[in-house]
Amino acid sequence: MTAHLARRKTMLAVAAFLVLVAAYPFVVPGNYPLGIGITAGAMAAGTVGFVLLFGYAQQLALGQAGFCMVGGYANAILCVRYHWDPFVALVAGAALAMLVAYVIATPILKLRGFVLAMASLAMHFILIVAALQVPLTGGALGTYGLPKFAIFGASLSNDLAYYYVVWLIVLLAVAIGLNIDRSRIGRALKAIAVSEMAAGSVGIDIAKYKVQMFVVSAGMASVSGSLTVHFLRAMDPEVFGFAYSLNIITSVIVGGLMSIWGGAMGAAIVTGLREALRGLSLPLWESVIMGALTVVVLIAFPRGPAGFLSGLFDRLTGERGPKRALGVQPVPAALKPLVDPPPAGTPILEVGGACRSFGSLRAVNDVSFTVEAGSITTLIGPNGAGKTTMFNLVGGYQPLDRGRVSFLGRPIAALMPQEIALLGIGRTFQNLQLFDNMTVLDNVMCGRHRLTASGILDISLRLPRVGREEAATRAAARDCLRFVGLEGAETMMTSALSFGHQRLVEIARALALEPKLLLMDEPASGLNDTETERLAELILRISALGVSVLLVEHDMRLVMGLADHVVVMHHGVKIADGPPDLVRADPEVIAAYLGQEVHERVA
Amino acid sequence: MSALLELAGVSSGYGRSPVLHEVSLEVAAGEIVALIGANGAGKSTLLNTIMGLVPLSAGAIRYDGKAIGGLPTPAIVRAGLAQVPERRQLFGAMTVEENLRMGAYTERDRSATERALEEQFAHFPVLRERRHQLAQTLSGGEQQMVAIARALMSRPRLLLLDEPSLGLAPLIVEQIMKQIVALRAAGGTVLVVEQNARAALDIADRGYVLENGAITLAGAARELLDNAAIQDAYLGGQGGSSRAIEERIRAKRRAILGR
Repeated sequence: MTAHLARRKTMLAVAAFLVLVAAYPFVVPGNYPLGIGITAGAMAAGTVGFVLLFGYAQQLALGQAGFCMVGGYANAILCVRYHWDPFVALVAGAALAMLVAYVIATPILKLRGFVLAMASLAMHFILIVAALQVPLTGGALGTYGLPKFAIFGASLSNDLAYYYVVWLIVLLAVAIGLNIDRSRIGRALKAIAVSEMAAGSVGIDIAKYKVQMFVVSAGMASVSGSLTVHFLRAMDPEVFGFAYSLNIITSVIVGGLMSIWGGAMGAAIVTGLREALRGLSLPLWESVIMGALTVVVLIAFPRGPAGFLSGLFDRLTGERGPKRALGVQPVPAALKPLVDPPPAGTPILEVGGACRSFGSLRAVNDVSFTVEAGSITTLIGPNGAGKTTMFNLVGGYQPLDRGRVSFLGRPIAALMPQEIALLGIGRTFQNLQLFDNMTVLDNVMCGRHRLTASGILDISLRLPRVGREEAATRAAARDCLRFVGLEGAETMMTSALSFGHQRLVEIARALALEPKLLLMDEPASGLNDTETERLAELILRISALGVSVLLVEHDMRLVMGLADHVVVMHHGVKIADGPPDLVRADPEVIAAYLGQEVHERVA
Repeated sequence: MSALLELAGVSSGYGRSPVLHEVSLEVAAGEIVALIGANGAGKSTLLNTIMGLVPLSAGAIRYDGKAIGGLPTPAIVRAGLAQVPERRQLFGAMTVEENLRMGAYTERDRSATERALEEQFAHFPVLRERRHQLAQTLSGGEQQMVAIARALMSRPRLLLLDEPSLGLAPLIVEQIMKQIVALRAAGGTVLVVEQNARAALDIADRGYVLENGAITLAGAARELLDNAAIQDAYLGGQGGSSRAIEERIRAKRRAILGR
């Protein structure tokens, strides 16, 4: 989608939000409906944060209400006992929740699976027990007599004013969420969700962004708790029980997991439905009907109501089904040569005595070779010879059992994939690893991750430098697409492209990180002869930029035509190493790998 | 020559975007037919349409004289067709034997399954050696054999092969192609889709060329190999032997890199 249309869509959404929020108290007058509006808004602040954690960072924290408790008690204690200004207490509570989240998340989020879900549940449980035991909180009776909300002494004495303040804070949370969504961090999170391997290959630190989302969502949950207790004017351990966590999760699922606006809408829908059902006074049926309605909403709007409206907007503006951009010629001048390539002929990558076993299988056994700067080096061998394992050792995807790998003289064997990418090593994958939840341009922009620096604070506030950096990133990504011949495909989803074009997107993404060394794993597999020749030309153009290339490939015409240097592996061992014509004549290589080439036999 | 499989005016696609436009083709019993075309031409979509995995929007598909268009996939498998999907799609965390047994999923007769398993092990001895190994730990060529054997477990009369050479070393491609020829010798019928047009046409009796979702050329495999337009588009141009392609790449290298 064009930036212009995206902006219009956001403006439209903000306008609709403001109209709905402003109109509600007048359409449904009365103190009770207004109370529902405030409760829903207070929860919405927390659900928007939970979209970032559950939807974007893929972390299901079951005890999110624990952070609401932190906000609730911070306000209860600071305002009642120490007479703090409620707004200042709200900010302090959020800061405390974020600090707690940071301390517990850093170790937990390095682990996978449901560890966080259980850990956050445990934290919530501990907080409930502590609240019951510690005198400061008022124990089971709780703390009463909270003041009405006030900002720097300006008290909001009537509930209507408070209602508007609450929903303005929700809008602020939505703005932060949208800012994150449309940033390098949003792209990084979406990338991690689809392929951690590919995310690592462009230098994305996987744990870092999960921790950041945990911290941001904890802050928003705490704000949610603060807003709720100032309406209730009381805080006790029951207010934010496990049921509250479940309501947050349900709201996010109903709103559409990856939808920031949906988080706010989900909170309004779930709270509204629950209250409407309460009006029917059928206590037994309440949860049954609630569950059934939730399922109906999920079936009717699989991407959530906000996703549905967004799709409607796209259809009305004709954004669906972008034009196919096929047969565009590559533009070699689109990319400039490397500014400081290492001197040609010096070693850029050195592998020495590399060993890697899986159980009793020696996948890579004492392999040594060198890639000279500026060269095209290929690694060949039969399937199962250990080539891909060798690649994964160089890329940091698997640890070496023994041996060393160094890049520009610096040992890299102990580094993680993202750290290796940061040094300037790009890679493409044998089985494409594209981020199929993003457009072609966003995929390539992910490749610029290591060259951009905006942090979570800059991005949340959308400081001017973030906009400048985004524009530069977008321009650089477009150049990479022009270089590979995909100009015009920017707004397409990668899944709409043919296999051959998807491969070009992957190459463009790897080039976007301005690599000094490019690792390509079987780039010609699945291409026909004519496409293979075009690929050969592209690889030559990449080499002409000063980028050194290490290629695993089966297509002998490509290998023999392109390579300066060929390394042959068989059963995990290097059996030959030299210029193509020497390697081709090696009897051991012929027996192990080349055989009679099919076409020559038949012709 | 009566056709075992016949497609007449078949159109299909995903959602609102059509991929295939009135495709007609025939496969006679005992033939190897190659379907070649560029990436995105619709080759895999064609196979998926035959198997009922992509909805047919127009036209008819007849197998052995019976209309199978619109039938659910399991019914098509029971009728006697089987597909070896692109990229093999093995059940990686299952053993070789378990993968093969999945291929006989629609077979209710247990002893027939055991016989089919024995046949596959006889045909692919290396799979018997590896029967208890997890599929994901096999090499690419062995995985391709598992994929073919799995498809053969339902004892199909017609086998649809999607890109069997993908990602395989030249020596292994040659072995797989030989196995496809052996299937024909054993009375099987094969429709093979290949990016590697030369390898497929080398073993095929006849071939079809699919471009932008429509058949643009059909004929004996030999004629297609000699056709100048086919050579330009799929075989790397006239004189598209491996040497000629390699030489052209070397010439480009001299032009671009000066070495």
